[in-house]
Amino acid sequence: MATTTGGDGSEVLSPHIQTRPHLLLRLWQTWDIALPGAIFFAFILLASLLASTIAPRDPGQRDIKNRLKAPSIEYPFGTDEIGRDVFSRVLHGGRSVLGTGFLALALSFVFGLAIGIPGGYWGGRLDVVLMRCMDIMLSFPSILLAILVVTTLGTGPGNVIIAVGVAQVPVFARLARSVVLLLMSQEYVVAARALGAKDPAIVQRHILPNMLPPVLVHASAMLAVTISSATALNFLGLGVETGTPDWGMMIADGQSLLFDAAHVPFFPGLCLTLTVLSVNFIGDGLRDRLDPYMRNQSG
Amino acid sequence: MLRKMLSLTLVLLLILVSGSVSAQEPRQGGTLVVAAEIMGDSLDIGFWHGFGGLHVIDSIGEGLVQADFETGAAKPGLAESWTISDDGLVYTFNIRPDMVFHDGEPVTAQAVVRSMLRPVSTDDPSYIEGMYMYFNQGFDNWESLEALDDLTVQLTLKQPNATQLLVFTRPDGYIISPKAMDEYGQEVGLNMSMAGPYRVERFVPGQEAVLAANEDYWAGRPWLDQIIIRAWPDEASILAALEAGEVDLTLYAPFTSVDRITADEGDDLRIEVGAPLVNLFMPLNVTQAPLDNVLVRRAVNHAIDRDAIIEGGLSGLAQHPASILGPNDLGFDPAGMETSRYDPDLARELLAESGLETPIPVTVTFENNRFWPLLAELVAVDLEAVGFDVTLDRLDTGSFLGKVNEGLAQISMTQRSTFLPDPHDKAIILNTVYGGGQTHHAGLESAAYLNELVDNGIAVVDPAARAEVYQEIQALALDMMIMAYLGYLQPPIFVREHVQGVDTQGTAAGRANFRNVWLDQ
Amino acid sequence: MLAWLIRRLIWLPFVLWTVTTLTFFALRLVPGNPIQSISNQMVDPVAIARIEAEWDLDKPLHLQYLYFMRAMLSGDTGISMSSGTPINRLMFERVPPTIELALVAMVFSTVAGIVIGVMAAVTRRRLIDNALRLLAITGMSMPWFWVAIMLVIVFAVRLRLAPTSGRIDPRLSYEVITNFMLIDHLLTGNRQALLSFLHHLILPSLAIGITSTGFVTRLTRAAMLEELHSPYVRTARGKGLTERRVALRHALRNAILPVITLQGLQFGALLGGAVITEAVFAWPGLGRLLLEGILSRDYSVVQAAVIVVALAYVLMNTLVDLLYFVVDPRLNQS
Repeated sequence: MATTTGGDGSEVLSPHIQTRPHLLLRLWQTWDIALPGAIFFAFILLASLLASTIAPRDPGQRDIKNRLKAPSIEYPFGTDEIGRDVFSRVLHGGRSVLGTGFLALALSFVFGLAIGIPGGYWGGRLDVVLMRCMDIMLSFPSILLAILVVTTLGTGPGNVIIAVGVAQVPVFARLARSVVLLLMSQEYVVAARALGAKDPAIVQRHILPNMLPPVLVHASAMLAVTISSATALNFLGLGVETGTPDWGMMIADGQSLLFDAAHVPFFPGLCLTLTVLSVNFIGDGLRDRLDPYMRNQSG
Repeated sequence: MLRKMLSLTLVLLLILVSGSVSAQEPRQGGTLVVAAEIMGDSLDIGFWHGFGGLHVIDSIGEGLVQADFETGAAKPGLAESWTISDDGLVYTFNIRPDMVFHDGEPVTAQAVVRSMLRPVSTDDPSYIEGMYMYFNQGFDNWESLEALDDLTVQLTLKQPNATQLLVFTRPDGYIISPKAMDEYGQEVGLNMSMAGPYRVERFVPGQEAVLAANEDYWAGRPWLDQIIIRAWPDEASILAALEAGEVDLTLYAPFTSVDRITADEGDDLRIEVGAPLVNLFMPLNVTQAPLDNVLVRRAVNHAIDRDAIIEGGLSGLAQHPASILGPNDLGFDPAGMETSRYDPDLARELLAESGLETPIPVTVTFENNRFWPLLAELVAVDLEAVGFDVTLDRLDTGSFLGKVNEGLAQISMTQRSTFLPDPHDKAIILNTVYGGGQTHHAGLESAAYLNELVDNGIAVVDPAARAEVYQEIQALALDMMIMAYLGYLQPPIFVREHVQGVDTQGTAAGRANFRNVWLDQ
Repeated sequence: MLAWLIRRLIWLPFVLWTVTTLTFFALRLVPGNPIQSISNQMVDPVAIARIEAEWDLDKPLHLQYLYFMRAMLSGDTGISMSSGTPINRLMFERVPPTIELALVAMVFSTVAGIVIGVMAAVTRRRLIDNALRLLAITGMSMPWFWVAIMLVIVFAVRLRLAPTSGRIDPRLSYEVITNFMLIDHLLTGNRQALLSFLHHLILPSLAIGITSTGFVTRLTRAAMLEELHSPYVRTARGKGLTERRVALRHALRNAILPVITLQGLQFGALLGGAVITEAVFAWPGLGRLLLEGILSRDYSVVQAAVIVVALAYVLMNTLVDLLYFVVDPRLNQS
């Protein structure tokens, strides 16, 4: 592969160039931008998990006298409208927003694949029925769904996950189906079917591994969507319970302060953006690693 | 040096003089851009909703009489004078001669009668099923409404009604051109023609309205050439548009920017503080434990530090509350302030007396917009400080109204504005029959008597006697402790520096009419 | 292909019926109803009963549903409960702006996304690739209204390069024919109105476009990388075609399939209205109508909006599948 022009980067991965560089460099070469992404993400995850130990103050502690204080040494990210410490809230708020985002994503991913793969694989009437169901789901207004969930089941993180996750199922279903359709016309699948391999085996051996790269890269991108949707629900008052430290909620509540105390929405917004960014970086790196052609070259 | 100072003084003097001159003499011309949160999809007075649409209707329409929010009296509108019979049942209105609607049709007594009877004239081409707003006109109590001649309208009531005259100042009491009703039928709301100081040049449903000065308005052409009223559903965007100089006047920018705009002399913005015409309060649902216990309700009332809430949640723009009525209302009794004094120790004692185990769980239900979430958090601080365990129940507008109406909320947060300057407009929510679902105290012993008192508030016509009725209503309501008052909101009116002549009374009540506004530029 | 299309569209009535039925019951299941939404202003129980009767809200649920279906089948969309405005008129007001915004945002994000994605793929893992991806991914990693409000603050408030909101300068006089402003102003030759409209369109379409661009970029890049390694591209390269030729001619053609799926879905979603963007930019779209309808429990507006949204989704998905055939003839066999 040393003959490649290097445009696809496979050159750096060729065996004879690997003359035991520094570990970090080697990691970078293998994982590319996924590395800083993973480091930052690990950092955020750790901070969120250890929030109760690191946070200098109780995130719910209101202190009206010290409301809307600008960032200082005492309050690194300032204080909000009722004098709560934004830094402590940001630390605590990651858990809620990331939990919601990932779980909603997992929900839509699993159900989406469970609907999309059979549809694409067996096709025919099953496919038609499944896809029309997806049309129905997509057309149902997600705000109404959220109101329905919140007013019947109450506000709370679990219900935000349902409201957001269900709304994204059709997206994954359609994506999975289109990828399966493509794979079905690949020689190895056609050959396996001709040789009489059982359907579950084909799905497990040929379809799933090959559909993962495009679906995973999309899934990491969809995290931005699930988090944004959850944030938008907060924006509309259908999100987590008021007072819960949650980045989405903090941005939604703080957006009217953008001209007057920008630090209130800014820090949670920054953390949210950087976190989603790092997940997308990981997704990109993962894609490169999972790419069957790339895998063949480096492995 | 001396010369410099002299010239400086001269310049300052000139500025002062010119400033005072311009302050005295309004100028004609210019466009005023107003931002509101919702426009509504029609200007039909039987359907209007959202303050944007209301601002438009209040600018283009007029009824037989107009409201004076300062005195609480009715003043001449399309009727230049009127008489009321001694028994309070027969109203005779004299329509101004030579007035025309925006479409050129003359304003006659027949036109007035047709417009006012529209909600019950099912065969009128402009009749639409479900014109809910008209029902405020109280026509169930009308014996007859007829045109005696081209310029005289006579209304005969079944029972005396002390608010009947002021009810005509509601937007649903405005008079529509019969020509427009014939021409556009059910779509008259999209092509509104009335007789107010401005006329509609363009109406984009749900989005914006462009109004032009009505050259033929009976009181003379208004100062402004043009008003643009547009819906901005998002508070932060209204503030952005204000900062970008695209909006001249709004009531709907976030309260949190009041302090900065007031302090910043360099910017082009100013805050005009509205009159205290909006009552913010929390109905306490007596059908729900623990609020079925009057001691608990009293504890809630004493636990709330209203000064802190007004300072922290409303940028100081509210007055200390006393009762359901506001300081400008007939029969207002300030004694209620003592009943609602901030006394957390007393609140704790009351809770101890109630025998309930603290912390007592309680839910505060509120709407997810404007200052409500912030106020709810502040109320929660105070309630938790005396021994409550507060759950904050934040809902979209529809769910909020549904939950409160069905009596499922415990403590809810709401407001009542002086839509027309008459105490009955606020007191009516204390009547369990007409309460609009906001209050839930029908189970209390004195509820029936309170209903009677509220009904008396309009049955008694003599102002002095009415005032006494309202004093009794206020005292009784406080005694029953069916709601905790938060404050009389003085809505900040955000204006750009060149906007003059803002009516802080009507605008604060949500009844902004821009007939005296002019631009100093 | 025609048979396929007919088989596909036969389902349309079924989809519409299911969605409207689900919406019908969902609306009545959540707390609040149209009467309660207006009862702050209307308190007389007699009057409430009268309105309820006029709107059939006093009837049992199954009868309400029957009346509703009857009206639907006879094509009677009725009037908005909160404003009395004919639903058809509201759709005329709201659908064209929604399509305009969706279309511009889609064109922008598709073109920008594919260009950036291809550039990133062919310069894989070099500085330029990383920089481009950083840019694209940052755009889509921000919450939607964050992007929108930031654009307003930077470009409208601080730099004053564009208006903060609205669809056109209301001071201008213009004629409404189709309510597609591009068409109307071109037809009437109203240059000033056209420019004002385009000026107002920039920020909202950017706000949507920035988010979508990230998705398209990543998808294009991923698909391009896959295709660049596929046997036939390697063959093409072996034949001496230059990198750019290979990338564009062969790889892009196949890489574009997932992009079409994504953008098709996205376009369908945008035709249903971009609630947040429309709220921030005061854009008179379908999303705001639907949101305000839901919040005020205006049943007839919500039902009508849902039908339009469902129509948009189904037609867009059909179109996407049709495009598959055009782009990838291989699929024709299946």
